[in-house]
Amino acid sequence: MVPLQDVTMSRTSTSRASKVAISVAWAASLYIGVTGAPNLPLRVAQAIDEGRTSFQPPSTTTLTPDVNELREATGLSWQQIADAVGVSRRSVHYWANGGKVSPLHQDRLRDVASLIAAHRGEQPEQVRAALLLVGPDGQSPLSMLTRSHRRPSTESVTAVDRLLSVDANGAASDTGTDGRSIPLNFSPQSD
Amino acid sequence: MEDGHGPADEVASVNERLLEWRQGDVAAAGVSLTVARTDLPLATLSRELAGEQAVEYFVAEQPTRVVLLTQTCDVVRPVVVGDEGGRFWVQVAPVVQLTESTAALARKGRIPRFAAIPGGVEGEFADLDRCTTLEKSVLAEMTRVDASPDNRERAAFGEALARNRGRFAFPDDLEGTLSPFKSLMVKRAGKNSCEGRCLDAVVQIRAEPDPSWDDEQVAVTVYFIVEAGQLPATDEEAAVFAPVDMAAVEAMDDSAKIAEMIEQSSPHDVSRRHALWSRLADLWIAGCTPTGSISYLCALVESEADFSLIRMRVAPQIDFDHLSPGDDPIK
Repeated sequence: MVPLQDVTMSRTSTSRASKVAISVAWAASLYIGVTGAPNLPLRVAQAIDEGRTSFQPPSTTTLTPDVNELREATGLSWQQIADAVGVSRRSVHYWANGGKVSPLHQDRLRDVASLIAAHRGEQPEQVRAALLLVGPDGQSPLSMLTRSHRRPSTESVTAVDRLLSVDANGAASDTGTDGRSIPLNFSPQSD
Repeated sequence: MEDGHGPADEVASVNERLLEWRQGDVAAAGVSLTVARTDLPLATLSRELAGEQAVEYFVAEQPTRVVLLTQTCDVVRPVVVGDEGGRFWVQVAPVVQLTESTAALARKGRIPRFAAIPGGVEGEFADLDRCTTLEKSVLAEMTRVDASPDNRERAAFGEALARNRGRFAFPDDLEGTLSPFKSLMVKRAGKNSCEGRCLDAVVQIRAEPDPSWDDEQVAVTVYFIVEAGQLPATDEEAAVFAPVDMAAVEAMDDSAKIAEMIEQSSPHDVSRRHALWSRLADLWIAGCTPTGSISYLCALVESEADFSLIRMRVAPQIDFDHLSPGDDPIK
């Protein structure tokens, strides 16, 4: 099992006048097919680390990334953050103005935060470029995360499904039959 | 008779008369058929119709106004005698009068059993559970009631028909979880109050699973998609608006008062309106306790101007059928 590392980032938001800590855990080099690509979303990494077979209910205890700071750190547009979290831009604006974020969407914000954990210290434009870097499979890390939150009920195979088929060495496994990969409980695959 | 079908000029007359019919039109003196077992009639209507008939199955005619369900292009397509690939049949459904609260929900498309009749009288709907197939010659003999030329109402009627057959079968656990919310909605729908009007401004209510409905533990987002004017448009870059005391809004627990504040707030006060709407949606589902596979429930308010096609695909519409077993929604 790939050890998870805890990275804590603390920043003070003048607009919010509140100190926000981003607790990010990440597993290295698990991204499929793209050299130097970012990491698995937090929930996914945690699920793998704990040997769980499906996502657990949204956390209500972990601190949530501040959406304003996420935007500053990534250089992403509001719309791109909204797409990554699976809501409208209007909802992200609402959160940016202090609106309550549900635990479910806090988890999704943490997924975005985990994507940038490997890029600490980089300029927002560099982080943005890395998140939007299109790999050989035609997907960027951000688009894979976006797709993972956009699964039509009739489509069960997604980027995250594939990401979750990861063996003990962190290599992707399409089959899950090598005895080392972690079976995760998603809908029956159709392709 | 020609080939056992009827004189050609009478068939031509049927074709000509059908040219004026459109989907959603009402026939003044129609007929609805019921086929049931004589020894085991289930519905009250069937029990009344069964009588003392000495047959295994009975077919009962019930004179009633009916609504034409068949798509217009299939209705006006000429019948050609001998062309067995032709369209000889149309479907109709009886017109029913719904109770006030049921009608309010049905008008918003939240009860798939009933479809609002284009240009119909207040409270009158097509009962899509009781469709009858007629040969076109029977329809041609019926008197068509002048209908609304409003194409939006006709389009809504077509959508209601599609939704009746195409609605998503949510897990039973979600139905159980949302039961208190649905009961609340039925009580408040159609009321001439601030909250009733807010509810009326909700265009659709949808539910999205995370990760999927098939999982053992499912977090559910209930989307309240409101009319475009309810949540002011936001600019891509200008995300910071007038400050709102979010804690004060979160502390409010009187949904009627919040609805009143929504109505009184400026349509340009982006943050405040969104905060109030979000709190109102939270309170609407506050009585729901996640059960079974449903591990978590939250509400999110979105504008119909923003809600994307992809979200529509992942979040099926919630319906309010089968709410109160003892109550007959039909007057």
